[in-house]
Amino acid sequence: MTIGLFIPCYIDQFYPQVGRATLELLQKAGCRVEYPLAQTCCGQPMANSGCETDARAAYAHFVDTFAPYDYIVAPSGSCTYHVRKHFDILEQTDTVHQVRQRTLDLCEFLHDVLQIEQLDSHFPHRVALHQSCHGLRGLRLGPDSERREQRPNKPTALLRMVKGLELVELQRADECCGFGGTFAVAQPDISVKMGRDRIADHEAAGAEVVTAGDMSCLMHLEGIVRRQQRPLRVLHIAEILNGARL
Amino acid sequence: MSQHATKAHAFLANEERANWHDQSLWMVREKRDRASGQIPDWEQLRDCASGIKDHVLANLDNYLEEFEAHALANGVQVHWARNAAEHNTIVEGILRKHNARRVVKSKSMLTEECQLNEHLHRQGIEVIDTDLGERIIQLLEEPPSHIVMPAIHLKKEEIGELFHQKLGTQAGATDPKYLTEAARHHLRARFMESDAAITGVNFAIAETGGIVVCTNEGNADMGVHLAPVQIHCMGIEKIIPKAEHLGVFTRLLGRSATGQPITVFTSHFHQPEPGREMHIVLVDNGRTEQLGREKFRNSLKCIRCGACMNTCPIYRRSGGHSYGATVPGPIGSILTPGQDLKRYSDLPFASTLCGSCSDVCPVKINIHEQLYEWRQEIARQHELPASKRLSMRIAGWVLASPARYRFFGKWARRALQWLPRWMVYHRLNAWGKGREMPEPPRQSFKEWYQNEKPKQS
Amino acid sequence: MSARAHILKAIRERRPASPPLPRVPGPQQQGAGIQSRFCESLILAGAEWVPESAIGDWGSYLQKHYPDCQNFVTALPELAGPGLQFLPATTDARSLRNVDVAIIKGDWGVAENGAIWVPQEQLPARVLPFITQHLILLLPTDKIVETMHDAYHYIRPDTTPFGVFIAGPSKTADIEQSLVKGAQGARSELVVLQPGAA
Repeated sequence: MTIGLFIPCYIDQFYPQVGRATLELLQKAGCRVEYPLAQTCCGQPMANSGCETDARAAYAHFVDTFAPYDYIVAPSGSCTYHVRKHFDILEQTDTVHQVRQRTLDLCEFLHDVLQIEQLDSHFPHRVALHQSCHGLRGLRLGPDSERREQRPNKPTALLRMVKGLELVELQRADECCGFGGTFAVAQPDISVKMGRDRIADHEAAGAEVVTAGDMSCLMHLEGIVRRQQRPLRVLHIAEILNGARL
Repeated sequence: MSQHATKAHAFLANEERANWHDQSLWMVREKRDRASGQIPDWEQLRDCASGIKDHVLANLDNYLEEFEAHALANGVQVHWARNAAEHNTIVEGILRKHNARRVVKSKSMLTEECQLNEHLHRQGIEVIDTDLGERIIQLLEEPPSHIVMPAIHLKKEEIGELFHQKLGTQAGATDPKYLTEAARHHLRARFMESDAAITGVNFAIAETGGIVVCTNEGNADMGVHLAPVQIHCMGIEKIIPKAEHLGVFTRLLGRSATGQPITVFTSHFHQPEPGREMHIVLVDNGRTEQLGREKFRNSLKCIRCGACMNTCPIYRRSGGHSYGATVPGPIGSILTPGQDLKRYSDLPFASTLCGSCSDVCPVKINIHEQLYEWRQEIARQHELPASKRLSMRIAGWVLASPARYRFFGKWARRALQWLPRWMVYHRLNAWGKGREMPEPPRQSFKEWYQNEKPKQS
Repeated sequence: MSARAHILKAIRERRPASPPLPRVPGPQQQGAGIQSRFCESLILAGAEWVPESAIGDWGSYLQKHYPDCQNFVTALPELAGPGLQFLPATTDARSLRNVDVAIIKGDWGVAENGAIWVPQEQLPARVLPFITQHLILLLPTDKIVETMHDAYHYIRPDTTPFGVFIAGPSKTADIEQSLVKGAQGARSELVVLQPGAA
């Protein structure tokens, strides 16, 4: 089994440590991982702005790049969701169909495919999980607060395997952080207000660290934390699972 | 900035008040969570409701005819209106026939949509809205900011001041109990002297020809039973096939709307009282057009519970008036572009596509997916701002090629490293308004993978 | 073309293929403790309840529990007596404007929400349960069902010209979400549970 590692564009450019943590985590779990150098982006920024026709070339390029792999794993629920949900505008050849089906979010892959039960990592801190919307409600990585259903919470299950880590409860378990892609710049006032409210909830819960399966939400929250010079730290879930230290 | 963004900016200027608005609505959302949790098969009930509505939309013509036939047999007069103007003319005609000058009306989003009050007012007919929240905003001469809680945006001090001026309550009085009592006296007098009563319709039953109206205050019944003529205005999508389906919808509606297990009054009107008239006006006003839009037709399943507004993080932080539409919030943002794409083209973008709306919706409308689809439609019809259109075209070009992607990525990181702060953070940088840009790393993941990784292993 | 024909034609041209009509949940067995569930729902709806045996003489009960009220009416001739006037069917709804307390009978109660079905046959005038300041509803305990599905299994709403489910007193929360009883309709609801026919 060979995994094609998909590192979303903004992680590639701004958060290479998240890409490294993802790669190492998968390798430690015994996977053969390749990072195809030709990869660019899933096309979500254009599509969410209404311009999915402009994203079509990026979609096709994604499919070509990742077609050879058994699984395509990304440290992002949002980009994974985009590939699975919105690559429907391409002609649905076998290849396209397979690439869509085999693209998984990192937590999903660890939980469902590898079914890992323990992790060799230690993180003695109070951590709050920000449940990114596309992972939560798009990929159903866990039960959301709206629906009345039982299902495992995959990111939480993984975080519970980290020694010393204390998960704190939030007042609003899964409210959106306000990033929303181009929404963040098209509606900066609401976007920043939503982010500030989310941070206040995390701080009130006594969190030292906020983590998430999506670096995009965290980029937004970190931007606010740094602007306001608050002590809250931001780490992608891959970093914590891979044994990061503060 | 878009209209919605501009109005949201103004709404958020008073942060304390915005927090209060957010918290008030979040409280209703939490009540809804508790009430839905009381039904073990909540998700199956949503499936059932959604399935019934899908079936209705596919057979709407037959059900409307069946409904009409039964209603006529019950002694009800049925009218059909293609649009708002026809609707208003029909209602005006009924009122004129009875020489009605004073009309009481309970909540009806349809008559809001058709601007019936304004029309009748121009004809010299007085309409009193009798739902307390609606009466408040009517006295203030404002549109509702929410479809279930029309005055949710107002503070009790403001309502106290309004009632002091308009209803003669004590100056400075803000006690909700006292103010509600004053409105009760004021409205009871209007009920007693009314010439006709108008209501909206929650459900219309095809197999019986009857209609169902749900209220908590009892104002629809006070109006209808005390007036010589009753008029019920409904969109054609309000039909349900059978009376037994009311079991499904009454369980969902109150719980989703306000977290009550059922509204206080669920009134079933089948025949007028002897010697009186009962009219039902069936209104299209764009609904058949929406039915023809495959990707958007299931927005017609909406039962107007308002749950998507209460849960929407944007609605809660921008207020209903920021949408500039009769039905605000997520559901409004997928209904209004069908009515006037140009005018409402910014609303599908007033969302992070978080999906909470779709998951609270009692009839499982895929609201956030339709927001995404409306964005595509808006771009196709050239209603995107030119700058956005251009930047997306460039982004698409860059991201389709590894070489271009690599070149521009590196350039952007360098720029962030080297440019002085004033050149990064200025009024054109919306990101920088309340946030720092990410700290650019020395090398991208890709560069590390190519250059550093081989040295390690 | 008439508006009617125009609308029906537009629908026929645009309607999608029809999925089947889902089955609604069938009636449930009345579970143990249904009466106490019903009573809990009444309290949550802001109503009160008493067993009929606690009433004793209606005249004195009303005087004691509604001391500020004068105008007591009932649609049930067997309850009428001094201080409690029997109200025959009336078409002059506005003549009821000064009713303080109205006693009527409900046909069915629903345990999950406390709603009580009152058809027109129980009402001297449709407006009575709304216009009265206080409402008293009599309900036999063997007429309590679990859910709204069950209720609509027994009730055919088109067999009555008008019928209403009532779940508690008239309410509003339109001013800052503060719950106030007695918005436009009755300020209070008392449910009197009668022993079932069994």
